[in-house]
Amino acid sequence: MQDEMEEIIIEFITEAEESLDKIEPLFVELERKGEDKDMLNDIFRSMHTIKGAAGFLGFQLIVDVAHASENIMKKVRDGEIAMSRLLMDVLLRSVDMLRLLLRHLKEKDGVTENVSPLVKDLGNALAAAVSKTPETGHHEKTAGEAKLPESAAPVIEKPEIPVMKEVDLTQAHAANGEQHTVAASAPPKQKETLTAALSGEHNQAPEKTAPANGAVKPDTQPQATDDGEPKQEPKQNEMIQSAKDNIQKAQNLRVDVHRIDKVMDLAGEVVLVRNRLLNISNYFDFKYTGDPMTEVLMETVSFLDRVTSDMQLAVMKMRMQPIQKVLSKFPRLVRDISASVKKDVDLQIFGEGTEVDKSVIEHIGDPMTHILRNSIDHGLESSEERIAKGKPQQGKIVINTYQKGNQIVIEIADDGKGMDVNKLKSKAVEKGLMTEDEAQKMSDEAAVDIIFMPGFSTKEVATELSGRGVGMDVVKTNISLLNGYVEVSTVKDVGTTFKICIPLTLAIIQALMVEVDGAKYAIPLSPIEETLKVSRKEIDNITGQSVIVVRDKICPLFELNDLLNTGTTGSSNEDYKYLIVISMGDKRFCIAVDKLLGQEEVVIKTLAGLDTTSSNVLGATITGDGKVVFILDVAGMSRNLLGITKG
Amino acid sequence: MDPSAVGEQILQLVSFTLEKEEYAVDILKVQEINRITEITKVPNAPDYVEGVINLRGKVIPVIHLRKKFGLYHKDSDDSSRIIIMDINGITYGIIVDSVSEVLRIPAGTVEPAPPMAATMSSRFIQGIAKLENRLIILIDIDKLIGEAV
Repeated sequence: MQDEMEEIIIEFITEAEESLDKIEPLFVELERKGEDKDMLNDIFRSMHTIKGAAGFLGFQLIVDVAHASENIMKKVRDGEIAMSRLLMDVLLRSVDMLRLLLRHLKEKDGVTENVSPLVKDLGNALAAAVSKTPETGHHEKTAGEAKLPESAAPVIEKPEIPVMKEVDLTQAHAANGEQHTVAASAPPKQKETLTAALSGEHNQAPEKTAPANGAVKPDTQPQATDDGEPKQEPKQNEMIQSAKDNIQKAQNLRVDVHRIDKVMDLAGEVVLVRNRLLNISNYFDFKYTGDPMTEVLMETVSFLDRVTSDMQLAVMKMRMQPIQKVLSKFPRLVRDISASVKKDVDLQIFGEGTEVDKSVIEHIGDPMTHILRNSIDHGLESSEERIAKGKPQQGKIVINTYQKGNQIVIEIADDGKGMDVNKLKSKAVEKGLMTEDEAQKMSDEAAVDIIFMPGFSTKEVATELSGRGVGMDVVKTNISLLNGYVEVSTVKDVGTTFKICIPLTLAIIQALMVEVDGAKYAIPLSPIEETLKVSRKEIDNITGQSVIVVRDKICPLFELNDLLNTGTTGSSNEDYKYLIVISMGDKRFCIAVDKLLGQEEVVIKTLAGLDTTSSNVLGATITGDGKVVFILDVAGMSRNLLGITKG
Repeated sequence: MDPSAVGEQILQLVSFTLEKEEYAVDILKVQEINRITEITKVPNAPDYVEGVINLRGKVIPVIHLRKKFGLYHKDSDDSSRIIIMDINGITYGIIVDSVSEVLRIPAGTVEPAPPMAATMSSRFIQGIAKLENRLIILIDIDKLIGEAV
């Protein structure tokens, strides 16, 4: 029973968090658009669900906060008071508080927050707003409710459904002593709201009412006989919740992510076995050509090959989620940041539907937040400055997400003042991050990357938002952890664009297999521009650094065994060398290897228990013959070899 | 057999040799014992990290205990073994010269390590077990491997 309770609470937390994620951007949009009935209803309903569920489970603090903000929402929705910045601020604060309370619940840290000041503020804000508008009577309110004419129709048609739910809810309220609050606020209102909300749902999916009804009925039956048993209350709540969910998203299934990861792991194993089988069958095909059984074997294996590829793709898709999950928190963030620096910012988001791997969703939020902060604080000018420059008063930030090949591209562009390359350089010299001489030699493109140096900041005084010299280097590290890279392009007085490129998935990659001194290595295919076979004579040497001209451009060249410290010299006597041209953002370099073995799909295995920070590998894989092969970290190499922090 | 009935705790250990010394670790740490398989070298790794092996689809690091203890190098031979251990939640392979036996000894026979010169290795010694005519060094494998890799 304890477990059951635990599960119900976890379920509640997840759903409440999802609701908050959903309504937060709505708040911000609402503020911009002004009145929007649908949006208000949406917010109101989510808030109400949270309150109801929390009430059944006895989380009084959550009930208090949700109730107070719900009161405001209700008056706004009914048109009694107008939305104002003050109201919005206090409502958003209540969202924050709800999040905090949920986190305490989740972590079971037993910390209790004092919510009474917030509840008081909510009450005060409401009172202040109400006093501004002429007081309307109770009856007029109900008239406002009846403005939804459709809501009445289904209730009449299928009266038993809403009524029954209503009864359920009130019962549960009573059982939990929650009725006190409800009764105090205004019981008739409460009922109306429920009816409206429920019938609203029926409107959305009238054809689904019948199964939903069926789902509710049998579950309420045993409840009646079992009455008085405390554990039934939350269960009953869950039933109502799930019945509602059935209506809204009958096509979705909530699965524990560990299960999916397990399937992912197994799929990886199958891929490895497939690769081994392919090797073996090729051997037999070679040895017993023409044997009918060999042909059957080849056929079977090639079928397995196809199915495995499909399965892999399907499993990968299971972990994909729309990037909207991350993007939805940005309108609020931008609103808060821009308010604190007193800038007027318009945030536009495109491509929220782009799907990325779950691990990407988890790690991309922080770097994007840093970039946005940076853009608002440093990038955009103040309104006066903008007007003086002849730009529109409102600054603009555009987030654009799209898929390009097997990469996801996220662009964050502002139309601010751009970066002053010379200022960047002189600051870096001032902070002792580089010498005057180095700064002089540095190209403008390279200089832009100064912002990613640890400890760099152009702000004279650290503000609350930025200026402490941490942030942009975190961006770079986080993104390279995802096996991706970030590029910056800036034009003075036109704006700055950050472009983040990350691979679609992190578990399986296409790789080029190479050989050096008899050892095999895998190089991720995505940053490889081309491979070349060159004669030794074409390689030049500039101040100790080998270089080669590739397509009219000078490209630094590194021997792979030097990079990996394999202990051998690598200057094999061959006249020809195989070069792999790597391009990371605007940086290009070549890696010389002994042999190119071909392309393979490899499963990345993490290296637990090994410190790989200096080893230039990002993981390992197991090849068809069961050998362990390291996957090289070209992003890390490019940082180490060409990074400006070198030396 | 029940330790409480005997009135004293019984330690179950797996013993192995390095050079001429006999060592032992808690049997609960040991997952399995394998012959030496193909080991892939790790680029830019400390020298006592022999490489990684494929343990049924899992890639696990392998530590050469001789090198870790600063003993002179000896090539692996037929009696060499890789002891697969779970150390702080991570699976490692440890190369030893040979694996001897499973020991059951009363906890009372284990004495704290004598205050030896402050050599690196002495920090990892849990105690020394005295059996009839041999001394077995108990290794705190969590400290030895967990700290350094």
